[in-house]
Amino acid sequence: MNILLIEDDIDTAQPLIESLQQSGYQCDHADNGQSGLSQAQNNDYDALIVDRMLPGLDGLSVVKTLREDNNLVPVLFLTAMTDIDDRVDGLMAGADDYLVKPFALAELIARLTVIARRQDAHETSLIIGDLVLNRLTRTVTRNEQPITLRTREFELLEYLMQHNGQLVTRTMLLEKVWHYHFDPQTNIIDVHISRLRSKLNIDGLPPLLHTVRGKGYSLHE
Amino acid sequence: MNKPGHISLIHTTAFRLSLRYAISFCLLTILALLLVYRHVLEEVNTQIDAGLRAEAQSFLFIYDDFPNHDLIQLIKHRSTELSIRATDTGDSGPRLYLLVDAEGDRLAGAMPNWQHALQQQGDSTLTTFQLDTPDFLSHLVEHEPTFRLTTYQIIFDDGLRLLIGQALNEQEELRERLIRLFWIITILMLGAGIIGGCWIGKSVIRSLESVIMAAEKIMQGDLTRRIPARHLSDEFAVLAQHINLMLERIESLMDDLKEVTVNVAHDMRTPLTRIRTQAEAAILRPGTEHYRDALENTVAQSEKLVWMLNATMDIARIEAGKVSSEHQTDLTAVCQGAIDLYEPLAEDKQQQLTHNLTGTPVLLHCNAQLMAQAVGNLLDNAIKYTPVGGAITLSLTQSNHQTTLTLSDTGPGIPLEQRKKATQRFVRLDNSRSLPGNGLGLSLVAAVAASHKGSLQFEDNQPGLTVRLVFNS
Repeated sequence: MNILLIEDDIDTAQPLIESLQQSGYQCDHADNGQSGLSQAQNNDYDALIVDRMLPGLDGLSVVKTLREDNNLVPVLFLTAMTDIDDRVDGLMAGADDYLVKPFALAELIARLTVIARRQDAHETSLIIGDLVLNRLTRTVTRNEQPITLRTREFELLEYLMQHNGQLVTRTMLLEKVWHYHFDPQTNIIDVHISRLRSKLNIDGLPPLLHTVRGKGYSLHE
Repeated sequence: MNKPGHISLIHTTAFRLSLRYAISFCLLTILALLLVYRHVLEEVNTQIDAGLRAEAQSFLFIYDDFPNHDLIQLIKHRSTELSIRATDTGDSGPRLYLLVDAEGDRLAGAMPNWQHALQQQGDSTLTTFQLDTPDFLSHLVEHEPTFRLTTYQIIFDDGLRLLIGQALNEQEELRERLIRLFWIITILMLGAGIIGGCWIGKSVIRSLESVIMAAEKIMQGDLTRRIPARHLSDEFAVLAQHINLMLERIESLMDDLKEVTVNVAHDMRTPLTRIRTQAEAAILRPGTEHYRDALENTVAQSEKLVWMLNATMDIARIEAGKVSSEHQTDLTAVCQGAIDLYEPLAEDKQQQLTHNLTGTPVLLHCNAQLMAQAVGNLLDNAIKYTPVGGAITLSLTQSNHQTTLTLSDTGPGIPLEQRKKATQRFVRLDNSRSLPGNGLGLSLVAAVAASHKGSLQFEDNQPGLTVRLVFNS
């Protein structure tokens, strides 16, 4: 995947670029808004990571300009501002996701992957192997055997299936499934996942819901 | 302004107001006095005219009814010095007469420069003019060279003319007396106004200076000082009371701040120490594996530190009133969401989690995220501190004026004397240091309650704790 990082603090940018490259991403760097904007306009990237506070042209303006030019490249904002209104501003400017500093590398990569590979949200059914989730009837079957899920468990599974094969972090689940923008500092998500997993793991069938140690979860065969 | 805190008298509102009032009253008084003046003088003139008219009538009477009269002798008699002096008593000036025949020759009378007088009179009945002062009258008019008089003219059938004149010296004197009096009144009023203004101004300054001096001591660092309200008049006493209340609040906030800073520093030392000891141990032991472990630990501990920082900043921001937007929020959905999230934890501890939520929305104008966080924290606490098999109940009720969220558990509860401390930041009540947590949960709930102008109450659930969040709907 080809990424552009627009970040003015070299001490933040350098290690991040190295980490991304170690993780298999090609990463370019711009240290101010203006040159970042031109690089984004002149090249084809799979995703942009943009720091909100930049010298000269700030992050919000960079994204707004790109969107006005009908450039739909996925954008992830990085910011030190924690106010919810800032998050709303960022998303309204056209960003696809928003991450508060300091962040975990796994979090960054997980979210990058999600925004870079846009999932089609209009399919009626999501299918992974023998697991079928029907959005219309709100039913789930595995190997054609029905599985009873509570509403929230259904939504959790739906999200995981939408991002099948991708790493999904606890924070992402909290935000997208429970719509909470704070960290409860307990392992509550783990408990929900293990419940879902026990419902999905029917005897004899391969496990689908995997834990990625220290980072999050992933649903795949 | 001179030394700090010193107010100059002239600049006080009290003095300026008093001066303004005094000047207004003076002007009004002067107006009134002017009216009186005009009226008095008009009255005096009317009296003089009436007097002249009366005497003229008496002469006509004599002329008509006494054919043997000798007008000339009569006038001569009345014009002797003695007679003139005799009329000069009380409040009328002396009367002067002039009798001329049809040809305009003087027959009798002591009116000085009588030709001029005749000329001035002409044919009119009543006139006022000036004449040269004769010697025998000079003492009356303070030796002025001329004096004024009003004259009444009678023209008899045979062409005889009689002029009866009334000197106006008394009127002049009255006028002068009045004007002197009015000046005295005006000056007295102004003087009283200024003195009164000074007096009021000084007492205001005294009150304010005591306030200012106390304020200065406070600014120099003595937060325990209060403004003495004993000797102050009503408005200042009220002001002083309010300032004192403000000072109490500031003092308590400062104390809180000190305590929080101490607690924060204390709590942050643990993860910082862990980072340091692991790192130092790893440095002493070469080998990538140890380095790796130490660095992973560093990451984990710093996550914890960051979380503490964020949570403290959140609480500080909420307390400072810088909350993000508020909307009409369905609290039923918020509570349901929180219950959904925390239910598995309760199930794991075989706790019964019950609620009274129905499909009916309970609306409140608030910030949905903060409410969710607050309810979540309360649930988290309840589940954490209630033993296995306990019961937790959430109920949400709304009346016309109030919306109440109640959460009860069967845990150890919070003793009465520790309830106030429980909502302070980074405080964990002694008997719970063993359980994982952060000491920030309840303080966030308290901050959210306060920012929505609601209240957070603790009660004994007998056994256990009941937490009540009350908002005005």
